[in-house]
Amino acid sequence: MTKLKKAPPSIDYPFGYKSMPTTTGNEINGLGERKKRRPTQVFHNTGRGTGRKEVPYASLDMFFNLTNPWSMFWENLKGWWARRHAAGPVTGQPVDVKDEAAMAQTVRDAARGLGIDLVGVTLYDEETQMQGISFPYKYAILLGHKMDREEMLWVPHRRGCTEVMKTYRTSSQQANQLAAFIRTLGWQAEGYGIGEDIILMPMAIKAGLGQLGKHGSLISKEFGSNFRLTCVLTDLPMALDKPVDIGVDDLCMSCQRCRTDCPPAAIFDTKQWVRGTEKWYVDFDKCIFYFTHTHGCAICLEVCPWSEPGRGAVLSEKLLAKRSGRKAAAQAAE
Amino acid sequence: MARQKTTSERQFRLYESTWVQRRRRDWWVFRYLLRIFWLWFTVGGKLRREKRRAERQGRVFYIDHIAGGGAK
Repeated sequence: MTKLKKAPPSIDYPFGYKSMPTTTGNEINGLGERKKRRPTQVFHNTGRGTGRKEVPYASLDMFFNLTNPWSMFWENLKGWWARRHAAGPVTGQPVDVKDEAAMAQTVRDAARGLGIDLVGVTLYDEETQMQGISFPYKYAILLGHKMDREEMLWVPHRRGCTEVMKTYRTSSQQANQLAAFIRTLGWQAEGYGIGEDIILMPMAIKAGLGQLGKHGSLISKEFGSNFRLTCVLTDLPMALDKPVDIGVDDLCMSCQRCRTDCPPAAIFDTKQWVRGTEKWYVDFDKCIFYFTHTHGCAICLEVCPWSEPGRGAVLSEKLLAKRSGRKAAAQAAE
Repeated sequence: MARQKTTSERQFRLYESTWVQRRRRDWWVFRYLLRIFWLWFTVGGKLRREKRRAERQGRVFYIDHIAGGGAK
């Protein structure tokens, strides 16, 4: 069982709103809504795009950004500097793609060569993106980058949160390099990593990188939740990957680890309706203050049983075998 | 209607670039990051101090005003 290196701080926050925003974060996120709609901005990047004064939690977002310790801020600055290489001119005529599966494999090999740990291809899905934001591409290559587990066991303290920012920075650079490789094939491609106005998790699920866990984050068979996402958008034709079922729901339905270890008790025990989909969801209004207080928290990601190194594949095999056993027993009983 | 470009597309990304365009963009990004650093150093420093002080004194530092233009 995972043990964090240092006990997390209490939930006695030394900061807060005198008058809370009139719209709660859960309302903005669409908690309890049964009708499908696109998400709207609530936290992160609130100083840009729609304008910071229009986003109710902009003050908290700015407080988060400006009070981050130097080690995190420095990684952030370096990541932003690297964003200059996210796009560029296409070189040469587009290669004629006759075999989309082979092309997907070529891209996968190139990604692995760059040190990217997880790769999945899906169609770019506008409906999962924030209201008013769109990207002019057909395909999305979702990339997973594992974090240093030893460093991450320091969450929610500075050392662990710095590892998160460091991974975001290096993974953004890798995504940009993959996009540059695709541009050499004559097809436009752009990297999307740190600080971008793009929502990656729904597309990552479709691309088969993992499943949504009780803690509201992605769980992969290889790294559990101990990884970060980036993406390359492109028009290069590739065969698509399919969503995977590794048995995450089977465990999350009964496991309580992330719930009991979450200091502000922000994790629901059951799936919730959010913008027309029933899914695992984290209570934004409880989570975000602790997230800000600890500069990124991430306790739930690291205490998750799936995140223990080497455990995911075994866990998945056991859970799926148990499920098929239950199914067989139910059929026999009929 | 033409699609609205994201901030990143407008500020960081060049699609058909020349050496001069790239240097101009790099210079712009450098100055932009310098401004962010200055904000983190000055306003951020003040906020970090206020947060620490509130923590020591067991009171709450109110942050409502920050998005309106920094620590007061």
